[in-house]
Amino acid sequence: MTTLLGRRVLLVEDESLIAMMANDFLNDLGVEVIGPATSIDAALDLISTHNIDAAVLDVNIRGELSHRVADALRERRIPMVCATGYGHGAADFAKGAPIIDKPYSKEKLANSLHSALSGPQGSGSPSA
Amino acid sequence: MRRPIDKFRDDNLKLRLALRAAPLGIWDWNLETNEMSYSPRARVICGFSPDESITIEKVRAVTHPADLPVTSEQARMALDPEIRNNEPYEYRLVRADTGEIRWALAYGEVVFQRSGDTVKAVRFLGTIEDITARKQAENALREAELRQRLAIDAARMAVWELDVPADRLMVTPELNRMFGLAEDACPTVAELRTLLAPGDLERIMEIRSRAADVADPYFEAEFRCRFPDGSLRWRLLRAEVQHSPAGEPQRIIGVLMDIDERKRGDEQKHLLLREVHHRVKNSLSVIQALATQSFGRGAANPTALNGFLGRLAALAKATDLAVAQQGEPFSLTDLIVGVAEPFQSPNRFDLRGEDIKLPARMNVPLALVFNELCTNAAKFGALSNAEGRVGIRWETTARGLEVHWQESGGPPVPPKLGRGFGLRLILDVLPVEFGSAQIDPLPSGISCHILIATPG
Repeated sequence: MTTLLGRRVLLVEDESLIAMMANDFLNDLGVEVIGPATSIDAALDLISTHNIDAAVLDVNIRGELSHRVADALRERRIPMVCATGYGHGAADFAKGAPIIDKPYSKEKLANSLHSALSGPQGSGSPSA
Repeated sequence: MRRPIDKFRDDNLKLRLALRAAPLGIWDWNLETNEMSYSPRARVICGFSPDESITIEKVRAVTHPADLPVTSEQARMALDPEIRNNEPYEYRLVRADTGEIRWALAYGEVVFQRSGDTVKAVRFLGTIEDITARKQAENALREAELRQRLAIDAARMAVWELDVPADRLMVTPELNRMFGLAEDACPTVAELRTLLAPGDLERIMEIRSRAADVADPYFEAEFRCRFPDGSLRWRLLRAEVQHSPAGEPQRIIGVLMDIDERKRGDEQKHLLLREVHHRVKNSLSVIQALATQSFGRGAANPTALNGFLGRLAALAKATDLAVAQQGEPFSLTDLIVGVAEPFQSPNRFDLRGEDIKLPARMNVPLALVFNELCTNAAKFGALSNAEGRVGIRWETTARGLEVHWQESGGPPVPPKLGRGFGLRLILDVLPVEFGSAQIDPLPSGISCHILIATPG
């Protein structure tokens, strides 16, 4: 089992209250939160300037599917968890990345992050 | 040896037989005496009485005024020794007796006589036939074809036919229009196929190959074709495969229908539904965040918050199902699997029952009931230790759909259940007219019986 302790996780979520809660969940899990980014451009900016182990990405940011963020993450081989209100209808977007359905619990978030980090794109241990 | 007179009698007999068999009237106009003779049948056709004398004026009078120029011209060309036209011609009669308009087919021959340098027409004779019935059938057919064509146009359809062995298509103006081509274009099948959206041709071919069955030769497929302006249009193809006696596909006949507007409407509806779904789920997430922030961090009683969040999650599952089913009946199995999911690690549920559909309005109450049962089992019942299990079994009986929840292998159950909100939810949340729930704390494990009146 990979540990979440000390991982740097980018949080992309445009709804500030949900971002606040997810931020708390991640802090409780011992994760260092990068962000939260509330827009696609802000997320891209953080991706290009920070060292990131994984991301929790809202599939829909301000009415736009966050494909550009997902592409930037894939390009850098950063594993991600896709959070969505569309349920499993978001499978096309996720392309195999774990999907968590909103509203999600802290446990659900932790499980998805674990499976993302131990998946083909996960490094298996915290980056130095 | 036959004498000429016998031969004449014989020929005359044959002619009469032929005339009786074919409904032909005979007319004979002596141009030198200007006498006209009409056979009884010819008189009936024109509406003349059996014995009246026939004159050229009478003949003109029974010719439809609109067709008179045509028949006059025909006669002129027949009588002209330089032309000697003897083509049959159709015209309308206005019967002398009833005034009824009838269609006639006439055929005339002129007898010419040479005297010195001049050639003169002396006799004009021929046949006349009433062809009204045939004309009406022809008109009916033409009108039926016109009506069909109008219907096809109105329904925005094109009829097509494919010769399978040659892979050759009969192209019509309507078919061209369906592909956004000029009406007189002559595209080959291959050219039309290149206009299909990626993947659509393969899909059609796959569906078509399944219709290769002689017993069920019909198939239909929706596809998109690319118009010259680059836009994609939705079309529906319906066809019948005709087979050779050996069972090989020989010919495919079908129609193509313009379903673009309907598909755009569907897409719009789908997008809207997705958007509503997204917003509802987002709102539920915001409620979750508000509750977590308001009561969660550092709260004295985290159990109440967790209970609330569990109910919220069950509501979200019910919403997903409602959206996926678009308000149509949902599957009981899907609902149970969705609600039980957070309690499923590892799988400790045994589900038994047919996949049954329930009306959409049962969705939320049932999700809440199952969530309460699961939560309770996780706190005190079969899911609170490592080895307990939950059996959910359902069957349709005379009373309706009966669902049995039975826990086993959990810690001993206290004889009396506390009457908290969770229990009230289980007992009271189902709409009275639709169902009821009864809970029994058996020592071996909690048992719950849910009755859902199946709709009429």
